[in-house]
Amino acid sequence: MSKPAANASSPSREQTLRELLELKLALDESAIVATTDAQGIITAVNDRFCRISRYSREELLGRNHRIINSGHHPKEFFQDLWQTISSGKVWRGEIKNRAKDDSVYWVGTTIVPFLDEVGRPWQYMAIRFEITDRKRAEEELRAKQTELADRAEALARSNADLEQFAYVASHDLQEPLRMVSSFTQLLAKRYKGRLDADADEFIRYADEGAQTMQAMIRDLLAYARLDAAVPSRFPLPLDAALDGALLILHVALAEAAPILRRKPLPEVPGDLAQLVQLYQNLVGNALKFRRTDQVLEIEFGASKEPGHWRCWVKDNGIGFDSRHADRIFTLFQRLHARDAFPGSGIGLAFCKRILERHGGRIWVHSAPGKGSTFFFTLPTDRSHP
Amino acid sequence: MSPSNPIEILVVDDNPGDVRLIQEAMKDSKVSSRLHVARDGAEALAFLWREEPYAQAPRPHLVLLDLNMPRVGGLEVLRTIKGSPELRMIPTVILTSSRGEKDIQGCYDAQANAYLVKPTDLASFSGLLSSIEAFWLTLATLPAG
Repeated sequence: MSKPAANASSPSREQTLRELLELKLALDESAIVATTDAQGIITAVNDRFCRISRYSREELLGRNHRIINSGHHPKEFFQDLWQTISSGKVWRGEIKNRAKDDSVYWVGTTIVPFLDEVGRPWQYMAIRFEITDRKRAEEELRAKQTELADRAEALARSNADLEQFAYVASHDLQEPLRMVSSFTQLLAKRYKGRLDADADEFIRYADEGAQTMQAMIRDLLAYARLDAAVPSRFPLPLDAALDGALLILHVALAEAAPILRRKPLPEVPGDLAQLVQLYQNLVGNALKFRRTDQVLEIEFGASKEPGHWRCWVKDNGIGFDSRHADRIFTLFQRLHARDAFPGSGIGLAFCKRILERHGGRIWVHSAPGKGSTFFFTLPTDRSHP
Repeated sequence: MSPSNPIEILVVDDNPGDVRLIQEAMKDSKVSSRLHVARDGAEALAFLWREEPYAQAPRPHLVLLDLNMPRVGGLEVLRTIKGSPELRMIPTVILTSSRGEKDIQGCYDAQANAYLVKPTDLASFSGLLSSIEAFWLTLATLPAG
């Protein structure tokens, strides 16, 4: 390539100057700019610098650049900065500065050393963009993340404590209770009918009480185990879970002979054993609380909603006052006397926990004599907790 | 076994209630057996090693061993038994209230002959003891003590 003639292609001085001025104009429009001499004494600032630092140009010129130091950064930070630029290299970084009115601001900073003939910097130009908002957002995010992590940790700790407590309590309680029930049973076996009617009755109540408590402790233990086990998340047809539940309940189903209306159920990611138990408890409830004066009908279905499936189990049983709709999902809460409907009252608490573990929820619509419809949701994808 | 040679059973359990339940269940036994009781692992080991006050103790034909006990626990007794050429042949059956997976694994790992969980009601407890008796004292042929 031949060298072009100088006067033909190189711009005139005037042209160069104009271009430089335009560049400076563009720079001043966009950036916070200051120049200092080799010692860091401010030799020029633009309007943006004055505006953000809240100093007038007169207050700044001739002062050391340290005038806006916020004290946020350690000494090493500025040592590194000076070492970089005084050796002729460009420094880039984020600096927190302090304005005249003590407010602080963050700037993304590039400092360019201008070198003399022997390569020594004789002037520095600092070009900055304000990043206070971003920094603040970052700090907030960090604080939030820390807070979240703390909370998650506290929650995990309290969950672990609770599991431990439930396990220890139920296991350690079983021991003395086993003694109570074994020896009341031994009493009954050996002395029934040999003391008097009162004695027989007392022993019977003691035995029943011990057995009820054993059942409750067993349920509590199962509940604690349920909490400890992380449900698997494999796509499975909900119909299979219902099939499993109906199979387990076949004796009770044969006795109650209900009409089952099954609409197709979707495929959801979940834990088969837990979802079988879910249906088992819900169907078990429908069987238990059926009306004696009509044929029991149970309907199963599901409809798609954004992000989840809404499933239902609807019966025409005795129903209950919807005032109790929340209470029935609590551990050991019963709406009926124990001798009217046996059970420890843990079934629906189990359902609630299973659904929570799957990222879903459960609720019920019911009215006395009108039957109950239990609704529950299950997420369509497995990204849920 | 001839009736003149009763089967010696060592029950290791710190709960006198459980010991009594075992005794009650064994009362109806068709097999002539003699129960010896150690209230913790240390007593059990003294019995097995025939240390004072058990210098005259017979070698048991069967050990029923609880796990959670003060001083020396059941697993340690089990390990001692199975680690000893003299004692390792004694069938050692764990009889505990723990269903813990770690306990079950640990005991079979230490060569327990069986791991049984104490049932919570009397009928099942008696039933279990009858099964132990039927299997270990009647069906199984045990090494000569």
